[in-house]
Amino acid sequence: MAQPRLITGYLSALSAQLPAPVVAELADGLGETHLHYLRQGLDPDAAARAAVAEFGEPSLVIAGFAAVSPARRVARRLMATGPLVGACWAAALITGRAWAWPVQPAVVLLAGLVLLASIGLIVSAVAGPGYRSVVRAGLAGCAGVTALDAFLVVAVPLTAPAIGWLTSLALAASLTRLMFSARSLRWCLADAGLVTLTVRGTNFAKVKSVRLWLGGTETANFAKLSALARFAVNTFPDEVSRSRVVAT
Amino acid sequence: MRGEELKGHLDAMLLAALEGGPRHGYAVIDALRQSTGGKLDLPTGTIYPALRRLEQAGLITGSWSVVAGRRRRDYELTPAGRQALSGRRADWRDFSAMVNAALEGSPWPSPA
Repeated sequence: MAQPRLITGYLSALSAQLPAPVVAELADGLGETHLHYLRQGLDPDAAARAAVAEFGEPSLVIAGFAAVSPARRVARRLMATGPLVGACWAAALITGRAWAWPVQPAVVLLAGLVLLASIGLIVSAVAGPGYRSVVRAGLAGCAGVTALDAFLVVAVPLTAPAIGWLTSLALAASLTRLMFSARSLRWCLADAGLVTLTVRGTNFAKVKSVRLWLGGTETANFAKLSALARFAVNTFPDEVSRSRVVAT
Repeated sequence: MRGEELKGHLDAMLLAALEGGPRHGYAVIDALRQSTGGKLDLPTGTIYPALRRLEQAGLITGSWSVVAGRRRRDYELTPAGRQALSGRRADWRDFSAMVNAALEGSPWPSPA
């Protein structure tokens, strides 16, 4: 049965912001709500109006998903730990008299700008209502913090005349955050719409199990690669065209 | 009941709706409506992010199926979810007994 224009328009508004698997789930729920009103005797358009009204404004649904997005979670963690890592570095650079180190002013300026931009992006990812804007800001903020930590971890030991315990502490804080950021970037990238197919087994001829991940969530488990291929091609034609297979 | 009043209780209600077995999003909402006698008045679309949050917390697990040509996500409680539901129920009993005692003057239930 063709869906009323109101429902397709509603789903289009969601599709503009949310990942495809989320929209598919919402489309199922909206379809069921529509059917519920049709069974109550409403005509298709009236049932569509009632279903859409019951679902709530698309902006409300999008904000709900933005609040639970991996990018928001990562941004919150970076925001919570940022002052601590920053304080470690401030103490290390002040006690180490970093202003006397042989560093180009342009490099210092660039690092400062990256820091400010990252803070702004992280705040935006924590507070923003749009899903895509939260994912973009979270990804960019996380990438900025990663770049900054990598720069400090490499440049400070090469530049500082001596490594005191405060500098060691700051380096350890940055290294810890680097590991967290690298892992978080993967979550955010997966949630941004990338699809990862993970094949577990010794080789493709002897596959033990196949797990399909969509939007950062494991969505299906298959005993054989052929079963996955059939399912994927039939169910997710768009995503499969952007997929990659990783053998582990 | 307004969304603001439900804050803090929605997660437990969703877990309770899944206690009987796996359900998809709309079936969860329908179960909640029926169990509350239609008093639950939340935009249906806001239930789905809450389900996702519970899934991220490891309290429920979701799996995809295809029904009538539509992709459907079914949820079920994990062992951690059952434990969380049991804890939330006990907390709610204590809380509601305390509020009842304060507002209605009903006696504080003595421990069995």
